[in-house]
Amino acid sequence: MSRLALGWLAAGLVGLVLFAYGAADDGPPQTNADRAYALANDFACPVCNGQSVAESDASIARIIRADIRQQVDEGRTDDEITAYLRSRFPDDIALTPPASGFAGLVWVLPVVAIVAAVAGLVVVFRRWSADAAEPASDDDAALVEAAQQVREDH
Amino acid sequence: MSDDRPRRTALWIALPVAAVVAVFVGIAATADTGEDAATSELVGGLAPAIVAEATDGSTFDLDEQRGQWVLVNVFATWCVPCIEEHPELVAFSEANADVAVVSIAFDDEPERVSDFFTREGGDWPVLLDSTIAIDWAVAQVPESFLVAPSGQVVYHFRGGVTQEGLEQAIGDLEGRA
Repeated sequence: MSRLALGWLAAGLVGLVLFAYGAADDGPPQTNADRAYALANDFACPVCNGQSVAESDASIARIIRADIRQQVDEGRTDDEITAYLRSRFPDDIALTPPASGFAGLVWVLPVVAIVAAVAGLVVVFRRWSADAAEPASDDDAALVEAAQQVREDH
Repeated sequence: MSDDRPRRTALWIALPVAAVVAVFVGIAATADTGEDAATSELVGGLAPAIVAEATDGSTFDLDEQRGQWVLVNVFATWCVPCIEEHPELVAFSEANADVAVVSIAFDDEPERVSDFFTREGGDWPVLLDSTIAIDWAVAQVPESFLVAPSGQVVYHFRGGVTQEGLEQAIGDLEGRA
């Protein structure tokens, strides 16, 4: 394996490790308050622009936070609470898009795009490498010889 | 031929990017708006249960109102359109004793709610449990719902109501409910 290939492999491994570290789950929330806060972060405030229920100070966000906390204290699971809120408000309330249906494409497309981009780059780089390895033509040799002659003359 | 290579490479890059952008635009364009979904979610279905303590200490149960029209009003004392609609609600309630009215305070203080009704009038049950608003998919106030004698939600008012608008809606729906 060439040094260049080893370098690329090392860079890829470092990227993979960093990605895995960033995506690693911190584990389940420890207390009911932690769970309620984590759930509130998963929902968009229905009347705000880009704020989660946990972040917003809008009335409905406060009410939903209180409701989530109450449901957590009553022993409902995260899935039950999520299903309830999604049934009450439009799908837009969920900050995490559904994994199925047309909207589920948002999970798949970035991966497809990245794979396609990497494959495209590999193809392009290999072509460039192949071009560079082509033997010099007679015209090329004549050009080099002429250039060397000019250099020697000076 | 080799002169075309950069152009072809650019095309191969541009096409997937354009496809991804087109799909995202498609998702955004076909997504339901909150307004439509919130309205269609409740109207036509059985009214969500309401069992809660009123400001006068009594317990209000929506199921016990079956057989008569019920106006469910979600309001707040800090909301200007709610203040503006209140005299209309009082007039409607006084002129239509056969229609039950119930108000649900939205993110409000009990003392303010009691003071508001003492000052502005209205002798119907007022509930302080804001989480009822979630059952009714209310995100902003004022909003009101007409519940038919059958227990179905048949009309959704987004914004302030008027006595005339309420009476007209019930009149229009009475034959169908």
